[in-house]
Amino acid sequence: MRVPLRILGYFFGTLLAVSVLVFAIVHLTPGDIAAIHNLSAHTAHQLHLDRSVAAQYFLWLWGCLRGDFGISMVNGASVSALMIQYSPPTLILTFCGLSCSLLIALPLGIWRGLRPVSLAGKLTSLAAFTLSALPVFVLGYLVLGIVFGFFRVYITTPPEGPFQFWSYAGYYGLPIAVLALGNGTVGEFIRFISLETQSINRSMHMRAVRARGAGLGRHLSRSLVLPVYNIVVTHMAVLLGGLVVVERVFNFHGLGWLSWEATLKRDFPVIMGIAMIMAVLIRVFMLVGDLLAWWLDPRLREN
Amino acid sequence: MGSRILRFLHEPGGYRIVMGSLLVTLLLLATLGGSQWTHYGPRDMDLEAQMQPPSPSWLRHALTSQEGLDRWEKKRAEGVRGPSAGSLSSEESFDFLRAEPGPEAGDGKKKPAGSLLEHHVLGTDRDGRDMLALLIAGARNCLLPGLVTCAVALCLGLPLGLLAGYYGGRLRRLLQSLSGTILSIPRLVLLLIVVCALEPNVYYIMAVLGLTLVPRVSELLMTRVRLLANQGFILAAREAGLTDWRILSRHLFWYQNRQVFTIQFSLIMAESVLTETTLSYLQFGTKAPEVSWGNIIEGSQMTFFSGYYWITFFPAFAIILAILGFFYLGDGLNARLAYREGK
Repeated sequence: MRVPLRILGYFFGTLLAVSVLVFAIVHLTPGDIAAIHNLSAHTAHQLHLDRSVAAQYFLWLWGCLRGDFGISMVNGASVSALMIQYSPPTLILTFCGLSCSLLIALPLGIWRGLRPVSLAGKLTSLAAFTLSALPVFVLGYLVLGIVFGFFRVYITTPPEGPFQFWSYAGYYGLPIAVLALGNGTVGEFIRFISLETQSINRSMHMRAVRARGAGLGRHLSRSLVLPVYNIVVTHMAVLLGGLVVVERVFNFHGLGWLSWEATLKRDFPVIMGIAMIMAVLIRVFMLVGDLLAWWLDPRLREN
Repeated sequence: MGSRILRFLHEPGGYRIVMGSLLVTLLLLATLGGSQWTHYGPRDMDLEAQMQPPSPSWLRHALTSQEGLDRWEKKRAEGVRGPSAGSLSSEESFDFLRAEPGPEAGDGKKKPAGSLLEHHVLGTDRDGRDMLALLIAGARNCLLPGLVTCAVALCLGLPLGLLAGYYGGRLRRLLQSLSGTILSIPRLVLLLIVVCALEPNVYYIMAVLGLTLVPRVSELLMTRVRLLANQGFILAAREAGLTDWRILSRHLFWYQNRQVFTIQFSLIMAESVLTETTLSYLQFGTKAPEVSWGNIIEGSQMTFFSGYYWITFFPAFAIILAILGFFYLGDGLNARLAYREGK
């Protein structure tokens, strides 16, 4: 049981460090927040801006722990309410984007990993390589130009009412496609999965499996689960960063768009809250990965 | 000679290195001598030629005689009379998909055909600024901030990685927790917080980007140095009474890891070009009077949907080529290093 405790300690320690970092960037740098937003002395007092930095930090941290990230400096709305309002489309986007890129990358990566020297394998890696050099907004504009040029329509209003496939697909389709393909997500996945497949394929136990004449798929997929989970989790951060750009390109009102607007208006509590939520999300997935590794891999448990 | 070139190409990463260095050289040339490539500066507004499409007129000029040119012009004038730049109707705005170059705006007042440089080879933007001149000005503004990022990331990351790999212990644990912290915030969001708090200029943001890349560089070097630190030649050097400084700088860095510097340099450049253009696109990086590729794309949003595709697409291609160049170079060198070390 000692190892999970260390893993848990690392989880909470990192989150604490993230909160210190985020708070320090905003509050320890020159520039008076009350002056930036023209707050009256009374409002500044209500927002605890006249207290010491340490006191402000602990008040903010305590608020974060209770799920209260403060209020927006621009319109006074509760940051938690804003985030709850804006997050559902973003969650759909993230989930579908990740699944799409995995759906593309897994078969291609495994296939390329099994035949690394064939021409098709080389072409796949070239395509993957080129894709990972495409910035999200460039890809977004290319896709928009093609779609808009051919169909002359682009749906920018979110669908309402009962679920209808086409209206939802029209609204979510392009951002999901761009998020899945851009940012190097698919390219990195394909490269990583094919390398991993190659090394597993060459290992002793796969040789034994082949000598016994057993099916390769089962053993290959078992050894692939953990590495693939890990690469997905490490790419979560890149993907969440890419969200900001994708939502800006498609004018898609989600968390990324909110953070862009907050930065434009210098709305500190909103961007701090979003950063914390994203850090928690990433850390939770990493924690699950660590625990999975500990649970699945007996070597980690014994040491 | 020929066989040496062939051998260079056929070692792993050969083609990537050549491709990458060609693209990077092009970028460097554009930065250093690009102003010679066109007669227009990035701020010259040619008000007679706003929104002029990238026209093959320079090609025609080069290929045909004056007579043929005149005949061609006359024939085209008799054909479909094109819309003027200001009033593209929705019907005509997607001409670019039909691959027919639209008639030039400001048709009546044509410039006298001079040297090739006087044509707007890549067209003009809304203000009549030459696209080629804009692209060349943008190349400088994406290369210089990238150098800042590289300087910060490498100057801090390499020594830290060397020390942590050689001495280990507390420094290594500190580095690991630092990278754990930085990895748990999306890099772009971290930069947005910095922008929000300080509203700094591009170079400041790119320095912060360099700071966030420090753990990556130092962890890479740390793992490599840790593998080397217990090998015979290091033990022998220590027995021979060499100082730690000499072992670190000579035997661990220069003899074993100097390629890491080049590889990481080009990979970080790719990363920083990506980040700089993205930030400029989001209106946080290079600001309006200065030109950056991301900036041009941001400014062309409105015109893009009216069919003026070239204002958006040329900077987009420039971005892709620049990133691909650094990326190919770094990856090719990396593959070569792995191959040589495996041998």
